[in-house]
Amino acid sequence: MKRCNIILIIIMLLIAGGVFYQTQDMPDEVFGTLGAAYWPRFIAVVLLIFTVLLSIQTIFSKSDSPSPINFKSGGIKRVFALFGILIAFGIALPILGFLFSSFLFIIAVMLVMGEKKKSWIFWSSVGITAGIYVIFDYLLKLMLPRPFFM
Amino acid sequence: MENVITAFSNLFNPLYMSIIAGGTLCGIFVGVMPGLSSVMGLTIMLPITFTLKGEGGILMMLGIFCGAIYGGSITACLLNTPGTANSAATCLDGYPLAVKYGQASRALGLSTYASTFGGIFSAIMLLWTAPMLAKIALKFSPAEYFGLMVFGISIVTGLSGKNVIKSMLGACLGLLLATIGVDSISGIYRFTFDTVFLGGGISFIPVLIGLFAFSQGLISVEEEFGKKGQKAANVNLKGLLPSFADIKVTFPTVIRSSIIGTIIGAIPGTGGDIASWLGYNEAKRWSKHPEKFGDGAIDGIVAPESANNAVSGGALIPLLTLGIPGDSGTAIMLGAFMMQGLIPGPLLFTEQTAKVYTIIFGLFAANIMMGFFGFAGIRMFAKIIQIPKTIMTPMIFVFCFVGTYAMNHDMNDIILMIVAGVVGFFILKLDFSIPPIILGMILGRPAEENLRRSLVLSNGDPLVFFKRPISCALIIIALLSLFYPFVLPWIRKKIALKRNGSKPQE
Repeated sequence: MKRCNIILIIIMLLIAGGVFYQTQDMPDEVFGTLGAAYWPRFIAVVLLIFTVLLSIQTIFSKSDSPSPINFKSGGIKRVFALFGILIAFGIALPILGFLFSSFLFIIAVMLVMGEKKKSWIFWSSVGITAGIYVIFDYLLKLMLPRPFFM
Repeated sequence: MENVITAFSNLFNPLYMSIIAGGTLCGIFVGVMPGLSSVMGLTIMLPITFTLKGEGGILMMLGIFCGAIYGGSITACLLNTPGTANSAATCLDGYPLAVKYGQASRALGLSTYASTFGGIFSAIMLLWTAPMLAKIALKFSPAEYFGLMVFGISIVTGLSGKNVIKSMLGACLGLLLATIGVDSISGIYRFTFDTVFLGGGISFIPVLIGLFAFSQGLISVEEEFGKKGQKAANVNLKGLLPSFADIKVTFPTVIRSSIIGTIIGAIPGTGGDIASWLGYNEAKRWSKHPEKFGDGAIDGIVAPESANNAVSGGALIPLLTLGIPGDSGTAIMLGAFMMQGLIPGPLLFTEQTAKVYTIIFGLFAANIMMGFFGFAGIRMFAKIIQIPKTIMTPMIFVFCFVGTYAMNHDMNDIILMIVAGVVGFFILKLDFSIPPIILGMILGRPAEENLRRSLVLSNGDPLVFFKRPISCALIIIALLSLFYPFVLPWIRKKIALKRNGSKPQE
């Protein structure tokens, strides 16, 4: 956990630093009240204070619990496979439209989750996609993204 | 009185009634499925409710809110796994009574009766107390409002999550996200990086869906690795209505737990899980047969169920009167109210009185329908438990996509939601808590506006927040709530030291 906390502390410091950098050109006072920079800077200071507290907590903690993210575990490998599917889904969405992309996405997720029965996967995907179409496109009149050829 | 009659006539039309029924059914479905929380159900359905006109969307949210709390008890009794965290205490006695003693109908009937009673009781309390509290809140100035917002954020931060420091960091991130976009007073663009997408600020709904629902879907993908699906106990469900004798015996417990649940619900930062455990403990403490608890005691079923359902009305008290959400579920509802053009707070009671009463009576209707569906459809809900996670999880993902897209018909929102979901997955692993981030995002803008307004009114005097007693008290409580988790172990140690005379017991 300590290593994860150190990465977190670095990210928080970068965010706080980024806020100060981005607000340097903003006025401190506008129309007799606080300017646009004041509130984000105030939050950044609070963020810094709690980052320092987290650093102290991390340094002085007696026991170190195992890392909450085990990159070698089968579960996390599945999640990373899913990230790949999500990227593919993001690319396919404007091309194939919502229904075709979702149909393929559901099949891919079920396979990643370890489902083996092919007919079950196919019919579940058909059922969910059809359900989504009926509820949202047909009943709620929500225009879901169409494929490029329609 | 005129507003009450208008609210009644608004509510009792077939469209609104079917919307509440649909929401309640949807909520029970979410509650029954282990791994799907009421917050997830509310989040996924939130954009869909915007397609409903008038107060329809809010009434649907109320139905989901009530139904999901109740639905968890069905899984708790039949599977020994709470459908939602609210029903964890119900497992202790619900499962033994349903499976060990073969009285599933009695267990489920009692939980349905207690849930319905708790929900209706809290709705009565809401109807009684909310207008009174709103009258007091009408006297609030911007300084009090600022104090109230700081109080809301810090108390949720202090009480939720395993690590207060990380919860506070999360709240800061939420507050910073709320600053993105055009500054309302000076008109200056903040943190937009010259992009059109960020010009209007970070869209609240995609982040909400990503953090609450999509991240949970990812966690479910990880946790399901190597797991085999649990099978519900094969039980015969007949004669679900509880007997008069059972109602008579458990009635004092139901009343006590409903009071506990309403009070706990009204305290920001708490929630149904705390209420149900407190209700359970009190029922055991007051019982003549505490030894029976944990082995199918009927008081052990009705206590947590009436307490957690009573949270629904309790949580709406600070939400409607002060605009402060009591828990994650009401935080989402606050977002829904704002999107529908209703700004919760004392002015809501004077400017949109009929709408407020429609919401309050809607809560009554949702609880009554919950009871009806509970008794009538429990056999069907018991079968829902069997749906495998390999189907539920991709379905959640697809609902997240549709829900996000439904808001603005913008593909960028889907990408933002996925990014928020992936970030949510990792920060949940790092012991962060999601509610402070969301609350920071929701309350960030009004907090900043009230801070600036109060400084204008006080000619720039920063002590204005401490000169006014209510804002001063709220800010002090807010600060104390942050130190509470650090101070609590120290106090316990001191008490143990006093009790033992010399050395503290490890």
